[in-house]
Amino acid sequence: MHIPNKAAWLPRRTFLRGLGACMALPLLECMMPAVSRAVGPVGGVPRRMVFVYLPNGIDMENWTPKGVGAAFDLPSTLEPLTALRGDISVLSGLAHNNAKGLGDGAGDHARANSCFLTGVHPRKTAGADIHIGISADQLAAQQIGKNTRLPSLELSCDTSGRQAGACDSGYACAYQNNISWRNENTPMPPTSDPRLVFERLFGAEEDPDLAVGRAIREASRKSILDVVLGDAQSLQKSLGATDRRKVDEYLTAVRETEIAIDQDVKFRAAQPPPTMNRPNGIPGDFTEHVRIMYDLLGFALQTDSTRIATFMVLREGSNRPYPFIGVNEGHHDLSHHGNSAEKKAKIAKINHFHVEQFAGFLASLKGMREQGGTVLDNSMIVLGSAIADGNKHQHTELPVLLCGHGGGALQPGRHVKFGETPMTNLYLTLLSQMGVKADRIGDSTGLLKNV
Amino acid sequence: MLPPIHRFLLGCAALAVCAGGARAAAPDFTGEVKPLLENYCFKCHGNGKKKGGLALDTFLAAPTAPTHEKDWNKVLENLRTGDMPPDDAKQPTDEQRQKLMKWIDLAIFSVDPDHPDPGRVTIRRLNRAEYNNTIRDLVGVDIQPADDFPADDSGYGFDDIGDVLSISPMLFDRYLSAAEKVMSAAILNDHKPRPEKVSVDLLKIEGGPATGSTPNSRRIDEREATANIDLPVAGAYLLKLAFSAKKVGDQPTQPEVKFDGQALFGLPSFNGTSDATEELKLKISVEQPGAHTLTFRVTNPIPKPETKNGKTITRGFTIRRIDLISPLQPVKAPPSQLKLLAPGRGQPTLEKAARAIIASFAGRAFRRPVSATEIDRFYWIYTQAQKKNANFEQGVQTALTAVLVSPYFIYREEIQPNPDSPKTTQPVSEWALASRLSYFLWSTMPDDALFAEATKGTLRKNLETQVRRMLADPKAEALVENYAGQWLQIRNLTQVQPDAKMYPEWDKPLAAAMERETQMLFENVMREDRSILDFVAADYTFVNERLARHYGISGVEGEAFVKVKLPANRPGGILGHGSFLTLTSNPNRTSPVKRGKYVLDNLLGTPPPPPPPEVPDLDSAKGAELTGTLRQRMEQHRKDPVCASCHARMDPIGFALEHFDGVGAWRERDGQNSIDPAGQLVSGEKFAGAAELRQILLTRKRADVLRCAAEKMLTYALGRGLEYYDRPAIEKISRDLAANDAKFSTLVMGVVNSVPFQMRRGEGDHHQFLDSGKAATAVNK
Repeated sequence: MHIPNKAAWLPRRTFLRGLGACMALPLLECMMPAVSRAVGPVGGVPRRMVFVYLPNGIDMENWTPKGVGAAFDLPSTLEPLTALRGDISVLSGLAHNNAKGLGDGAGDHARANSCFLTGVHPRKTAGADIHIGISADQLAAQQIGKNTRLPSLELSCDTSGRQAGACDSGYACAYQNNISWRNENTPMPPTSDPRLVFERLFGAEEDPDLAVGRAIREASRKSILDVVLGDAQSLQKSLGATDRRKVDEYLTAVRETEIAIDQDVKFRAAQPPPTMNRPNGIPGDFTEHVRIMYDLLGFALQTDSTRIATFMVLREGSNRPYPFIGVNEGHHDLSHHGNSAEKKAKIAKINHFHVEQFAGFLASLKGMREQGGTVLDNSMIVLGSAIADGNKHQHTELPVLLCGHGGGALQPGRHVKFGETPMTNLYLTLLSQMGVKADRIGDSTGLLKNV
Repeated sequence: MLPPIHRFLLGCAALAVCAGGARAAAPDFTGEVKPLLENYCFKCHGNGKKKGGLALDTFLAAPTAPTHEKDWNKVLENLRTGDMPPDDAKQPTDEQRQKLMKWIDLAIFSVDPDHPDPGRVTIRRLNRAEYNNTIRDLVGVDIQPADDFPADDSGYGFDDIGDVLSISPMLFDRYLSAAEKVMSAAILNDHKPRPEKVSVDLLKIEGGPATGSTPNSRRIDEREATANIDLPVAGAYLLKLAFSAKKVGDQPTQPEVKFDGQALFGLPSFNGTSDATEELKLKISVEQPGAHTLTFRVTNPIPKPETKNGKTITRGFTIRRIDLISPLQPVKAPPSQLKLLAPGRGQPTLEKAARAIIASFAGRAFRRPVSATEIDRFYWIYTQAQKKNANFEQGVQTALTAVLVSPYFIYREEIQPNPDSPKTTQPVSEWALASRLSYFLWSTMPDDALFAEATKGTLRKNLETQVRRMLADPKAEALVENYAGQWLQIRNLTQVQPDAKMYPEWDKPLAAAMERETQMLFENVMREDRSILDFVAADYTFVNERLARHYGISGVEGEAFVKVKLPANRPGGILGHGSFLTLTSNPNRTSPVKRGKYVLDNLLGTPPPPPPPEVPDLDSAKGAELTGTLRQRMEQHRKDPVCASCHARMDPIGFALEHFDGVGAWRERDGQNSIDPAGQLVSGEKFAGAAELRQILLTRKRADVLRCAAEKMLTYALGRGLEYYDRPAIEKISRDLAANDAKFSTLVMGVVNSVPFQMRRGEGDHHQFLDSGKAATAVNK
């Protein structure tokens, strides 16, 4: 299933007529892109910021264009982006120095995941005292998230959530499972079940025949939150410092839920697009899973349900094979290619697959018309990884694409080469375009010029 | 049996000096310890040499500085396991070894078995399994609401670690909707007739194309496919269908649906150029309740399908969803409702009834007595709902929903006086102990019997009786599922994807059988209270027909698992289990490194140090591609000194198991290459193959195996990582195991009776605890 282009937003096909009352016909206006009409976006057309993460590094030989500037070539891995050449920039030379060992030894995958959006060197612990920093997306969500129904959206296709056993070399699994962090200790776990994402965007399924007492339930939510907030405060009084901090997570979550209830009143939930069925769970087919997540992400942006999103396609260290493109080896095993040409070619195949899916996403955003152009015109989308060559766990010369026009803020269609520059400088730049006040993030040293 | 902990605790109460006090003296560093280090360690770790990054002579100026703790801990581990000094170096006597270990214990870590530090467990929220089970036992509805929660993070190998179980706004939102869902399933708040919904599992549709089904999609072509459905009542149903399809070739796709063999009218044909999903609502009449069929096919297949780019073009459609809505039916209160509302019966007023219901429910939900103020607060929610014209049931529903969202339900708090004082240690309350026990053994809340003991304050007194009762209860299956599932990592079997070309026999039923086999070994040891060494020693296992065929065992038929004797070529215990052998393989080959690491991590408890951060580029460094068998290539790798010391620990263990391929099937040869399973452990023991390796684990390494079992189970039971000051607890459990035929119940009782399980101290670290000197210990209940 793919996001329909403009042509698909046409009135329903004529064969439906014969069905009469049997069919539940969606309302005609829901067949139009439903940019939340109740309350218009603050300050005209909204700008969006999206981060997409790919694990285990990239085969850089087939990624980095030889040419620089507007006359850049698209190497084989980026070939699926040919039609979108004018909408993307390849950024070379960005680095995540805080993903390096810095005396902490092994664990580059856990560090790469957790450093990617925070720019912070994670504290090495198997669990007792997790410490990282706030991620770029959450910094934005905390300041401007109130402008939309959902402050932010966190997605993933990683289903190894029940993975037993230890994670990367002495790092707690939280580092490897999350790229989005609301503060130093609390991750924003991504959702991998499309049904749950669908429900977040468009509301939970409420079978009108079966629903009972919904009105009372909804009205009671506020008093329930009042009481449990009080419970948490009195609980905290009898706890030690670490436990108090832990219960702080609960308190924050209650307060945010209170805000979310208000937001639900202020912005009604978007209507699901008529072309999309309520997903029934995680598809068995991986390509379908990735596609449906991009579809949902696209709808979220189009309907202005949120302006800030992260999509960790898979977590670092993912050892998924890709038999449907002829790669039967596990991705992580392959990434330690020992310079074998055959292995590198297979990594490039995996990279190509992910770029192809990403290109489909960009194309669909480009097909979504809205005031001031298309959704892609008004978005800033980063695709990247905190590892370049997986064999050496290299954290410099990172693979980064910056896509969309950011409502005029970006000048895509170029290959821009930087001297070694913190990746976080790019984030600082995007944040300022989003209207977010931030002096620094992680190891940032300033704004990134020339994007 | 073990001396019950309560005796020890009472002793503490009488003396009131558990922390601090007189301690055993450490051996003298300059006179006794330093010469040993110089004599046995400095050849590689001193005088300018620093193998593995360790230079012990640099510590000599201030050997007890806290900065060296991690390194000393490693030294201690290596001394204990005999891995250091390596077998080709000069060996200290046992007495010298003990002296060094004692010095590290006392001088570096101040670990004194007579003055134990119980440590502290960070407040734990329920994880997903615990939430589902607790709702089942508390409310009486088994709807697994936590399946919709984000996955729990894990630490130290387990997903019940308080420090890493966090609450995001998204999770809280799920708590709220889960509580509402649970309460509306548990209590009916009106008596209006209502319909029932029957949803068809798309994976259970039979016939038609064989491949490509998911929970969301079922492909249909011209071959008839059938869904068998069971309908609760007769009458007029609404059949809701979601199909997607497009025009293929020159004709639209025309689906057909039959109910009990009768074709239904009103189906669209799909004429679009790209796939579109249509939702249909059709009325069907059902003559009688019970079994019925829905059949699907395409009526106009392409007569001669052509093949383009390797894909055959067929005309077909995809079913996305099938629901049947029954006619309205009269309703009966579910058993959960009768149970939850029972405390209100016979109360003189509605207010009193509501309060009684809330008090009873909140007490069980919070796993402790509740105060009058707490009841007031939840009763206030009831009154708020009443103001919005809720009826009695709706009001109660709302109040109980709040209980399920309260932090006292979500978290398992263990209240202690002076929580911020590292000096204060005390036994956990009987209520908290009841929860520690039930979440450890059952992954759920305490039952009535445990609550009754806690109410009377007799739980500690009757601890062993209770533990034995709990291990015999069906709920102890949770220990198999959650503890063994994570310790032995068999939960991951749903995630592995062996290469289909290399291992065509691999499929989901085989994976499930492998998981079950290992679960059953664990369960057998638990239920029959056998030796935990059976995990390595068992010469029996459990197989169904599918797994028996995989192992080359004849005479087993059907789905059911039976106990069989192992074939001679398979080593005992989990070393011969398909689960372990598959989990530790790459998709298209075995990985001796991963197998060795698994054994070191999970059976011996002596994990190898992690690889260096920058893996050297072996191939290019040597300038030539490595050649030969897998073993020869790995041996060339190992020539690199950076890799050698750790791989010498892992690889030989893995090579002993090379006769088992990437999915655990026996093989004589690895492709063209013969297999050499002989090897030598880093501590010197030689073996000819898997059978001898197993023998070494059971004899020379027996102490390590027992100790590892104790460490893993204590970690899971406590919900925190182990610290060096837990060493006395581990030693004690290991000693008891050695003295009691390593019985499973000895292990569980050892964990339950251990100081860290029974007690907690206030916030702060071990050094602050020690600084407390002769501070009095509070013993409050």
